Amino acid sequence: MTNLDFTTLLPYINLLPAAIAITLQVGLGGFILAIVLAIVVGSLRTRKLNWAVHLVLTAYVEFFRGTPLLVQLFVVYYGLPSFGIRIEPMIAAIVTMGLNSGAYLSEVVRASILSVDRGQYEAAAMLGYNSLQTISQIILPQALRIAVPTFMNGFSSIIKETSLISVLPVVELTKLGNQIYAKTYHPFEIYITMAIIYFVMTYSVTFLAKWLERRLSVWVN
Amino acid sequence: MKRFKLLVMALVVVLSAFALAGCGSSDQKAGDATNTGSTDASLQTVLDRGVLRVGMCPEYPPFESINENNEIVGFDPSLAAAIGKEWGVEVECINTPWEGLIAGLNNGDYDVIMSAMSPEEATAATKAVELSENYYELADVIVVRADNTDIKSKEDLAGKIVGVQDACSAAQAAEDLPNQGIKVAKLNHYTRNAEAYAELANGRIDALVVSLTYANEQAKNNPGYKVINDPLHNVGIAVVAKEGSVALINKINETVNKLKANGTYDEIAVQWLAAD
Repeated sequence: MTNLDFTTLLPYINLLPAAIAITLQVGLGGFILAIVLAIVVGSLRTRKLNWAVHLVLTAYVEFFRGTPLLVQLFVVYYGLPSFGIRIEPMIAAIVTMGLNSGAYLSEVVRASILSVDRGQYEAAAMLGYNSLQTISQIILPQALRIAVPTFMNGFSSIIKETSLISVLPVVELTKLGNQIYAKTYHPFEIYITMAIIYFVMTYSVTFLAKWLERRLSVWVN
Repeated sequence: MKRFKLLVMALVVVLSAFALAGCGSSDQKAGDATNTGSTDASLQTVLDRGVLRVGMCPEYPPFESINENNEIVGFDPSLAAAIGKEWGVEVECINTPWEGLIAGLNNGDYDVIMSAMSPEEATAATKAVELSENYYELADVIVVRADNTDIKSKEDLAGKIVGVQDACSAAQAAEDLPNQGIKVAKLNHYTRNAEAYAELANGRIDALVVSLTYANEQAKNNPGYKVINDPLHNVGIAVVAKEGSVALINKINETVNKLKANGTYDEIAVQWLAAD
């Protein structure tokens, strides 16, 4: 077994904050986009829709769920310019992460909405709520409470999946790791350090999720 | 049922659009070439901008790697800087993953690639590129663990497990071994040379194929490896530009020759590539 020598990393430590910042920007940006998409697409998909809208939404969800994120990143950044669509690497990363994660999370939103009791709709209709009021004031607040733990799950995945954007010319944590590795030839020290950083980032989200769940569930107990 | 058919159709359309995007790059370049064929503005664009943008993957010391200040340093950046100095333009090295280099070039992210790329590597990706004269020759050699005694030449690779970095000249050389009558037991492809080295250290592979300069650099840092100096083949490395950038490539050839004549090139080569 190789002897671990973390001191080889010391000269490169000052490069970490910028890479972590990029990882967080892509992770957070992608996550916010994913939430918005998930709520819109997820709630739309629980309703009877115009067939064209239905088709577009289904194609979106199935395409982004059914193909590898790595391929999507490649296509969005390196493929779309063939059609005259040129996107900055950071934007391409955030949009692709958001679209990908949004497709998964929209199904969570859909499932959460379906889990809200039928009686809630009937009661809302009884009280004279129109359909937009029913969904925004009665159904979504209940559905999203159910969705929160899975959303936070999604956030952990998205943070870790940002490692895939190392195929774009963006120096995030994983790519920085690869480049330090290429220079120092100490893979274990570097990847262990990176794993710890990813873990700290995702684990702190767990605390946020617990707090959020407690807050949103106050009225239940 | 009708809806289902429509859904399938839509998926086929979307997927084929993306599939086209994959190979679309070559169509697009063909278009570009016809556009730029008559009026080749490649050189003038760079001079007007005052910046020569060079794409490289800094995971290949001593040709290019990052230093503690996150600057890309090595033979290629220094040579690019010398070229820029001759032209009176700034040189910007753009940190790009190896697998994205050609795509990024087509994308217009940079003007040229200088990333220890051989003409074979570039044209394997796409024929639609302009290549400079080779500005350096390097040999792909075999590296084994220091305690290995049974591999002394490329013929000894027969029956051994060999590792290479994907999509590079060393991989091409290793893939060509069966044509020379040398049947390796298994050829493992890795994303980066560094991974092949880790595998060699772990004992999962018996040997790896890599360029002599990289092998020497590595052997200098780690006595656990031994370089077998029986080159599988020699490859040149060239500056790669988009198809149609003839003026740019001609000017680069001219400048590199000038740098070779006035000794600047040798200084840079000694600084980065002197193997000892």
